[in-house]
Amino acid sequence: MAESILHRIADKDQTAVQDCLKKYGGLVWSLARRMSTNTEDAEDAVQEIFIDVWKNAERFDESQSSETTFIAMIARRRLIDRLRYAKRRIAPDSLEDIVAEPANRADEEMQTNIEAKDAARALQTLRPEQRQVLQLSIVQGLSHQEISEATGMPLGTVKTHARRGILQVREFLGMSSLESMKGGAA
Amino acid sequence: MNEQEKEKMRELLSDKAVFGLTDAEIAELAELEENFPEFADDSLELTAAAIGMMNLDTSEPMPAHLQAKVAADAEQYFAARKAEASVSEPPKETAEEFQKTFTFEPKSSIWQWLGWAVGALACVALAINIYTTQQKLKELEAKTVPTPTATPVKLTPAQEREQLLASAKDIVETNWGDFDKAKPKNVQGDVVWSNAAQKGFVRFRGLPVNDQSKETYQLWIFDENQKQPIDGGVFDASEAGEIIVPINAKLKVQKPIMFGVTAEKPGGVPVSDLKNVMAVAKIAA
Repeated sequence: MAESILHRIADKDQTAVQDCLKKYGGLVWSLARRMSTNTEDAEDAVQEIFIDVWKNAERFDESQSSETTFIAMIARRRLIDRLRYAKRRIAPDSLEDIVAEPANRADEEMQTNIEAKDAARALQTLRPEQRQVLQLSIVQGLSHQEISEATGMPLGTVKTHARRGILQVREFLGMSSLESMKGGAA
Repeated sequence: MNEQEKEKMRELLSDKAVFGLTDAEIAELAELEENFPEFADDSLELTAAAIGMMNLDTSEPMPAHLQAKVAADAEQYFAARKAEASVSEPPKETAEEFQKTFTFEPKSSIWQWLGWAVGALACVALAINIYTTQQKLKELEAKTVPTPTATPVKLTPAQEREQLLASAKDIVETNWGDFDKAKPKNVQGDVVWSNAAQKGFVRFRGLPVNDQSKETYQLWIFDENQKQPIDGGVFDASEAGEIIVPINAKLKVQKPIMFGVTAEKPGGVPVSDLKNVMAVAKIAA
């Protein structure tokens, strides 16, 4: 079995950098564009994300996720951080459009990797409110306050739906937590 | 870990994965993770990442100029890592070199044996001579100068900053801004701080070069639990452009809410009157 790109990076194999850019450049660029306000901002974010990828490569555990999902996680962390510091959110054309959007597309052709396909299926198993909150927050990038304002749900309810929903999707994806591996209650 | 702490950690991990956390929540989670590392967990963030890839159009490739920038960044990053590794792991003799140095072929000729014996005697004599000479030199040196010690290669502040960013889990980052908007100083840059490591660095662009005979710059950490700002050390801006300075907190920092830099008399002051504030960096609540 070929060694993963991230393991090669962790071993300081610089030839893996080009392979990483070739394989995951499009993914990171797409996530950055989705969660940034303009192209310049997205380009800065991509540079920061890849530095984070080099730094965190050794933490990649293929028994826990695919390389694609791990890199998407690193990208999300940085993008959320940038949004928080910039105190801005994605400016949707219309919040009402997003809320009204039938965002429960499980169209498998649209999904980037197998875990995204499974995530789409998992969302279908959630209660409609949980699914709506997760899509508005994770896919559309809205804060809990914005979701509360847009949907009329109290802030605490938004958080509760998000927490329960994400735990259920984790179960569906089989991404076991360290806690459950140690026999704790999840 | 009690049930209440467990529940709090689950909530924070969920919120981190779905919405991101505030600085206060980041600090709270970092403390819980430090106390209970066995419960630190990426699985919810990985789940959110999988959801985040739904309906993602990845058909547009990353622009070529951006790819070049990322590759250049990578080159710099790996060069810095290599430099750090060479500091922490001094080069060792490889097994091959060791063998090459210490292996010899046995010779059968008596003349060759005699040659070795004479050589060995000469070596013993030389060793005794070197030993006695060194002892005399050591005695002489002890009277004049301290024994020199090996000087480790010192990391630059930029490398140390990178090291901190790579190793600390509770990094707080914030940007410099004007203290008095009516009198802008236009100092730019940022602050990174780790409470767990009690270590941090400031970066400045546009901080004027100071006349060291008249003034120095001094860093301050405003801690929620301290009445007075904590002295973060003094430094000089001896050149224009970007400068990076390590924060040298004189007291333990518990809950930083703001960083500041002031111009003070040479040597710094124990308490600043905050008359010459060059910039402040607030931590978002």
